Amino acid sequence: MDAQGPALPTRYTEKANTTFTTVVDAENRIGGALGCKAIPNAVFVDEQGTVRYIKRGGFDVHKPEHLALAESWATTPSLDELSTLSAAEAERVIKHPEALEHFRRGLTLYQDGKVDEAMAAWREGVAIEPDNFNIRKQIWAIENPDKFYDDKVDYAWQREQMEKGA
Amino acid sequence: MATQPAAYVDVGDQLPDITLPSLNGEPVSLASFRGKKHILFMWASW
Repeated sequence: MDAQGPALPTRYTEKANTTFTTVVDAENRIGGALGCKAIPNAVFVDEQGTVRYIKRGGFDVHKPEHLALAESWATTPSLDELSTLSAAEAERVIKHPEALEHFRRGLTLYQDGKVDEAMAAWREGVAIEPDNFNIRKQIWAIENPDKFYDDKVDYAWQREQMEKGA
Repeated sequence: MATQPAAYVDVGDQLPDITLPSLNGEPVSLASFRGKKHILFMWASW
């Protein structure tokens, strides 16, 4: 959003050694298209190019809740991705072998349309690895789709669920 | 708020394909990130 060109933002990206692509939007074309009246903003975009979440103003990765939101978006498979979650990906996010086994069994059941049995399998996985956000999230996403994909990712709600051990 | 027309892109809409120069001046299209989940972060040096 620098109207004076790339020189000023480059000072920051070089200092921070950023690895993401930075473009210079001197005329605020993106902000204008998305109805953003201030900065900083975050826009989460899915594989199909669909906007799934917008935080207009005040997005700050130094705030733990915003960082966690970005990490959760980047690392957690969405409901649509469940059937394509690779074995390697599941191994990366689930540490305990038995929990991983329950998670995979749940996926197979879910793909067969056996949603209740899939949920039961995931709950067994959660019992073994209670702090695994990724297993819990599959359950939450099915039970409460409105908290995930309807309007915005309700991070506060997820934290509440985690704290009360749901 | 009710009278405000939703003329801008919102949740559920396609991200518009806007092409802008990178820091080295090469054109970068927003659509070129399709196929992967991504985060568009809007900031400024000021």
